Amino acid sequence: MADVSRDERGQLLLVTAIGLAVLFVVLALLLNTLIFTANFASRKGPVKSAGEAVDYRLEAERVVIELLRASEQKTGSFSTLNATFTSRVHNWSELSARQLGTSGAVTHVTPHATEGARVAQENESRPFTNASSDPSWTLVEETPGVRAWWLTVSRENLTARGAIENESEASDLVNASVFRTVISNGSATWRVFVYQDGTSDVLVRVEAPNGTLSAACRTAATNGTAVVGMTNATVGGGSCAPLAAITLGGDAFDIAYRGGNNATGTYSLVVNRTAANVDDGDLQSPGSGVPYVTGGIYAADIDVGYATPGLRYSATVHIAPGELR
Amino acid sequence: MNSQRRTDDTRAVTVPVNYVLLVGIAALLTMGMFTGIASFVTDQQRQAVSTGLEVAGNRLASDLTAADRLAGTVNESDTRGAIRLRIPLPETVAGWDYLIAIRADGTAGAYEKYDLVLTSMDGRLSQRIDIQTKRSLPTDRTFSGGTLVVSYNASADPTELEVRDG
Repeated sequence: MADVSRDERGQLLLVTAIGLAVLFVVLALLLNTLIFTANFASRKGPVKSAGEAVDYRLEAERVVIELLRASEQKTGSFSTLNATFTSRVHNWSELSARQLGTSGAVTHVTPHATEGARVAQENESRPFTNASSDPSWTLVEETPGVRAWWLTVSRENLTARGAIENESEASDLVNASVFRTVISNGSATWRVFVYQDGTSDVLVRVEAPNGTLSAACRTAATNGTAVVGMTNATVGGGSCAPLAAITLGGDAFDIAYRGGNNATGTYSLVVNRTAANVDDGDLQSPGSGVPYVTGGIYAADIDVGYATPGLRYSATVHIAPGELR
Repeated sequence: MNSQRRTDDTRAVTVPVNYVLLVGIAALLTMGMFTGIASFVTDQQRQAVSTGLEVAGNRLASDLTAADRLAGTVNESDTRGAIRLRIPLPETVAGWDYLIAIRADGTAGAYEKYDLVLTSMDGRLSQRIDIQTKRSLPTDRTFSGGTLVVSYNASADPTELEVRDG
């Protein structure tokens, strides 16, 4: 045993204490790491801005759809309509960019409109005949698509059910000269018959290219009229599955009216052809009191951009609300 | 009496015995404490690394699937459609470097299945997280920890998400 003087005693305890102290410091560091990990786990990541990018895109789509709807009420050349449409989209784009800029996002929307034409009749008491009163006529030839096609028909001037031999036979409907729209791409022909039950309801039947006639979609006429949404597949606001089934497989098609004498009211449709192409003498200019053709915006492609420090999102969205093709 | 005491063999042993006992017991106790706490600390560290890898992996998984969903909103024929998402992952977990690998794990319907495998540098600790994406992910590379960038370009390849170190 070495000389045990007071000075050299307690070394073991000292060394151990220092060792333990080091371990405790390491433990504290580990605790710190765990706290950091927990903090990182709950930190908001780019997922949030991903959701915001999609929100922004959807918002832009909604705005453009509304602006396209607004243009469906207007007459004028395509360039005039397009100038209004474009400037309004720009206004919205700038406004939203300023607002979202405060949360660190850079956004833009740039629209590119597709020229179309709008065919319409505004005289409520006029039959669905052409400008020279021919009841069988073609509104538009060779259009790749149609949208926003609305018919507002007066019930009492439609063919009554009693005048039709058998309303479940397309040939009898044709024989009774029931008003019908004919949509044909050369190989497939869809016919939409519109008639009434003689008392209160307006009925719509669709004949498919294979000749089968659908069951009738019906609605009670309010104030004597009923609205048929040809492209959004509604009759009097209620959905009509046979109308929704109409499809032309992407080929260009003709749109014609037959039995135009047996329906009165207004209609409007936007087609994917220029006004100059549609104008063929069946139609006149707006304000003439007869069916007219005017400029229209058929569709819009919008470039949407959304950028934050963590995310850059850009996409082109094609918007043609309620397009039938 | 006095002389008898002085010649007693067993006398004066008390001090060294006491001392040896004291030192021995103290050493035993302190060593026990030392090893106990040391192994506790090591355990905690392994757990911290494990948790860190799991959190980083889950973050990566959620961001990759977010990028995939975002890519789903882009039309495949859209030549301007592009997405670039930065995924900020920690450079190290509990002071350890780590590696990220993406391994293909078959398909489930329209989805591709992948395992994200995060491994600590010494290869002892790893975490596996399953994800499913509509678009394919690169499985031929390994990424080191830190920010990753996932991008999608409809005009280049609409079926692929590209991942690289950021």
